[in-house]
Amino acid sequence: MQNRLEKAIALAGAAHTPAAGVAPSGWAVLLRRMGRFWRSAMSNRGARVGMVLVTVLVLVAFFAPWIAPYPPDEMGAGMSLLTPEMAYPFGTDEFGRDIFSRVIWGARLTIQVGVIAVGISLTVGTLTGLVAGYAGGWTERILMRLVDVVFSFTETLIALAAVAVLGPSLSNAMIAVGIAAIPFYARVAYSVTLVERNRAYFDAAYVQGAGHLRLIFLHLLPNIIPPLIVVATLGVSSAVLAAAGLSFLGLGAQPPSPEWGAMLSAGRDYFNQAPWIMIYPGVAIMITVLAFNLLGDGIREALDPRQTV
Amino acid sequence: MTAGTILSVRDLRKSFDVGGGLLRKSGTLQAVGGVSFDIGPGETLGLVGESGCGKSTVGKLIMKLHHPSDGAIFLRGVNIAGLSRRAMTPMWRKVQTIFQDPYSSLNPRMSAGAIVGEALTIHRIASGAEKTRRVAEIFEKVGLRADQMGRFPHEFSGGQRQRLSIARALIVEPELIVADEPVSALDVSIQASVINLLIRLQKEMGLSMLFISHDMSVVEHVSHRVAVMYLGRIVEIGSRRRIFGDPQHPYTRALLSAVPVADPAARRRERIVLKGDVPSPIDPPPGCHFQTRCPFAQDICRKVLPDLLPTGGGHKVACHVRMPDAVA
Repeated sequence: MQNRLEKAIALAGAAHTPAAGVAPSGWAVLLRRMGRFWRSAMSNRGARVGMVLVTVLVLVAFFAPWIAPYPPDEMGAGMSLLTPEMAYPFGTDEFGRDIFSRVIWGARLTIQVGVIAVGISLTVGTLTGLVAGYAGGWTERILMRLVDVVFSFTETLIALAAVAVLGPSLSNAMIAVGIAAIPFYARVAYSVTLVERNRAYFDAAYVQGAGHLRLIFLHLLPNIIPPLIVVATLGVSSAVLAAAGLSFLGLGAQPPSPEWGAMLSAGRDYFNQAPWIMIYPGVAIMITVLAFNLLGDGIREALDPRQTV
Repeated sequence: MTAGTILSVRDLRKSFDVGGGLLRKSGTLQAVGGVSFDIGPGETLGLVGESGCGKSTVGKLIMKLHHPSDGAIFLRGVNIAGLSRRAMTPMWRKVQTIFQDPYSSLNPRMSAGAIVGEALTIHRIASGAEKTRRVAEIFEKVGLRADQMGRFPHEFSGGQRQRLSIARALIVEPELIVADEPVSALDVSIQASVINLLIRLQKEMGLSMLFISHDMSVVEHVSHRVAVMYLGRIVEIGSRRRIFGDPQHPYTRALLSAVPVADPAARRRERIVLKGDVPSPIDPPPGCHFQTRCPFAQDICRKVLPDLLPTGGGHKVACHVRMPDAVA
């Protein structure tokens, strides 16, 4: 008996991560499930297109110094407002800067905006909703009413107020956009947490004597992640759009930054002579937003229980 | 409460506030209305009743998943009714529970070994290799293989999942198990093996058990004593032999007559079919709660709530008519 037991233990240890001992943690499972889920999401054509576009965007951003033919702020004397041609595929702006290079460098800023703004709203929103749903009572009431207050302002208004307080710059715009989107994540996290904490496994962990942190981070959090992934993916596109909007209004990225929204704004005055100054950054914003929307919708469909066997 | 008693429940009550919307009057739902019983070492008390009679609430109160509104729960002489969560934590090593639904009661994002071994970490009983060894040991004990520790709940069948649930409850070596309908979600073909496992483990580990079920035949199989609940109160309690052989309360008789019997010769026995539904626990009928459906109800039943009174041999019944045989 003892021998058989030891063999079995050895087997169990060999088959699974030895570092975790008995317990490949909830996170390891989450990763494994994510792989399966990923394949399912990628069977959706829209999601595949979205994924390709997002990948291209990331690659362009990463390799910007090698792809872009000119530095983004290199001005060329006497070469302002050139129409698109071989040397300047997207034309040049009023200072003779290459629009193509600026759009490519702008991808970096866009990725930054997406990651940081969504990072802020995802982290704060998830924690707020999770804690509110877990704690219940007064904590829940206060947190969710605060969320409701933020919810009742339009996103742009909050962003405007935040930029007014913090001052106009791209990083402040990111923070502002991130704060404005917190309620969406908090609402989703809250409602999923309510569902999960009423499942028997939560009660089971509770009567095992699990503490607050264990219940929240080991039992609830891994189970509420999937719907939040959808919100976060869709959230990237609205964050990019909102940040570009703020930059367009002059409240975000400041010249000479090659931020797409700021480029649009700068090109306004020359729209009649040189529409390409506005067209190409505009198209870049549109494609980015479309890519994340397609990806998010695909993931949502993959998560829809009616479509999963 | 005698010296050897593991669990002693005294006048346990739980009410929930219900309704209370903008336009509706709020009410109080008395889920458990003064329940008392004892469970001795190695003893199984079966708790039976229809859905909504409060039997599961009794189980949750004992586990402290709900806070009692009133009354006392003595676990090994310690009253846990008013204990805070923190103070209750060490007590959860003495009392553990098996849940009804084998699907929702296991965290889908944790491996079987992690689920079963979690309490060892929480109570700082064991860690590392020692933890693995103990989890493997309990896996074998409940009829699972130790090499299944790394699998996830969805990779197990319903019966195996319930074995995991049992393993999780037993790994802290509790003295009392609250089994809340542990087999009612399983296929009938699996039920017997899980029940027999429970009985075997109970004997091996000397466990006491509160076995909550609506299935009279399962309760007859596992219990030493049986308590029958109706609308939040115990109407009859006694040894299995007395409850099944010589039931006194009309409700118990009705429950028993509803149990199908495989023997065709026994088919012509009396069949008591209750009329109507269980009254709302928000607005229970005056007098005896059962009077609205009782075929033997008399005037006194409509006015006075009967007490649970001993009839000898540890048997108690709450009935004014006390079911003299002549009436039946």
